Amino acid sequence: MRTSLMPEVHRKADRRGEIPDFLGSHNPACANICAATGEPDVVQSSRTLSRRPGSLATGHRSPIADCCLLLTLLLLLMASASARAEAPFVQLDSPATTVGYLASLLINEVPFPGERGYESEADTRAAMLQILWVLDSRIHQIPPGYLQRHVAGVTSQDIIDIITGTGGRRQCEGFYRNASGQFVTDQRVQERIQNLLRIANSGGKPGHFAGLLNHAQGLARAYVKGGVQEADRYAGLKQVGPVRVTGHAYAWMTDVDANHPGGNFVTIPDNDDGSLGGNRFFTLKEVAK
Amino acid sequence: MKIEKLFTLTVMLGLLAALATACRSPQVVGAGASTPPAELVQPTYLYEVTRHLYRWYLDEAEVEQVTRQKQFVFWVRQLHPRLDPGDQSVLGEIVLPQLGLSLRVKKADYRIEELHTTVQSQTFKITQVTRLKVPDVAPANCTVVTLDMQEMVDYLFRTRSQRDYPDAALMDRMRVALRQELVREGVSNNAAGTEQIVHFSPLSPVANEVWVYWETGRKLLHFASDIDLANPAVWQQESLMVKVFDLDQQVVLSHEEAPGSNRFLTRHQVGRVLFNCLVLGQRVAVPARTPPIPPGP
Repeated sequence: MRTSLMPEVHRKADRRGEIPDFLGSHNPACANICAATGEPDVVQSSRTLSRRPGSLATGHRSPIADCCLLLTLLLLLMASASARAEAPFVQLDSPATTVGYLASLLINEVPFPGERGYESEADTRAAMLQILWVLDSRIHQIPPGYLQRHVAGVTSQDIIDIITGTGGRRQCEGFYRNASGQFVTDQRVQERIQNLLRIANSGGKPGHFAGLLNHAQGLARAYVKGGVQEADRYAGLKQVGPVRVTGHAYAWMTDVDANHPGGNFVTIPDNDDGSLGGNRFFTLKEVAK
Repeated sequence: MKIEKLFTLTVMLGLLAALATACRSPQVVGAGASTPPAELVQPTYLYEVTRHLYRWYLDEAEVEQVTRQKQFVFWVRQLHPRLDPGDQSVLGEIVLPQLGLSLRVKKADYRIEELHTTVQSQTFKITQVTRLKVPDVAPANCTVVTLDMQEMVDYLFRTRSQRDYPDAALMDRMRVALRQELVREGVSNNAAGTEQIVHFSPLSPVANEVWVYWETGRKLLHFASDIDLANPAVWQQESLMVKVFDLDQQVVLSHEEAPGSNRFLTRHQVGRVLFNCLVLGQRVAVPARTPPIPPGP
């Protein structure tokens, strides 16, 4: 299902922030919710009910049987409504899996409504996608003249290694390997995600929180399954002011501290959408091959 | 005749009203969609913005460089990003070309349905500060505001030690949130079981953030939000707004030591935070947690 979505995703994505919705109208999660709530049954029951008064009036069935039938239908309706209210709008994969861990990172690094740096759901979605592209570029887009360890701090083709870094030089705060080598997060990362999940699954309908969490999970699943291509808004970046750059982004940092990640990283300016979701993205200075 | 006089009087009164309005905000140049909100070009607001930068971002070399000039220049414009449906927030950008600094500011006005909370700022708050190379001339859609340099320098000198602390209600909320953080951080070392000493940085009227130096835990905590800190709703969601930096693990002299990592603060940054917390800040003792009484037999 997700594989077949990819070509459409490629067409939808452009470099100015139109981010593909991995969980749109053909969202399998939505189908699951409908199945869980028994939506078709509700429709069918309503139709049945609308026809029944006539039969009650004609007296073809005993009043007790009709009452029982009505009661049964009423109970079914209530059970269906209850199930619908309890069905979560978002379900995230376990952070112990690669997909779940990647989704945790995408969620952790961007602002949600009410948080510092939040601008809009679209902006936060764009930031998630660009963070994913930073990670991918650190594996597959190492520019000529650089070694992977210069850019990513590690030498590895494994997305988990790119996220965790090595030893004391972790790359993403809160994400690391424990003494047993398992990829884990700080407790506060999962607490925040659980809080976001609780908020997303509250209320009568999915809102921005649910949309953002589902987007992160969708991105992570799509990436691990087949990669996300042609959606990197910085891929074609060749010049930042007087500096020749490699294109693609290779680092991000919170924008508020006027931070710079050091090395040959070059700040991508606002004119090139360098600030997304409260994060500043950085490309690399072009060096001699 | 009387009608003509009345009409003339009405027109004159109208003109006087328009003139008075224009005189109150003479800094705004331009019209239509490119005109920034009046609040953004008010000298009092720009003074506060500069004081925030002076306290948290600028160093002596930058100040020395800019004070040689006669005018302190701001380029101000409103931004029009695509917001969520129903979001009435207003965003703007303030560029300080002489310092190569760009600030994004936001006056939030939106509702978070899931939290049953309205996020509404009383004034524009700084959400981003970026050091960028700025063009030689202001972009066409910017309003240029100039303030007298000497007056600005005098203001910064006069207010360099000004301390704006949270009121009692806000302090109580911060204390509760802090205790939760201390418990969370103290899981492994039982730190929450003893009295903890913390130092709050002063508040800024143009930023929704506060730094806390947790002396006994040797950590920095950064509380930041899109919601005004005075809004109780902020503190109900404290897990969404705090970042913790371990001073023994996450401080480097230069980011060159771990290129590309977003985990570290530089010693310079930490020094600035400590100055604001220890020298200008407010020391608070958080008493030991009373252990829960076990249920009786």
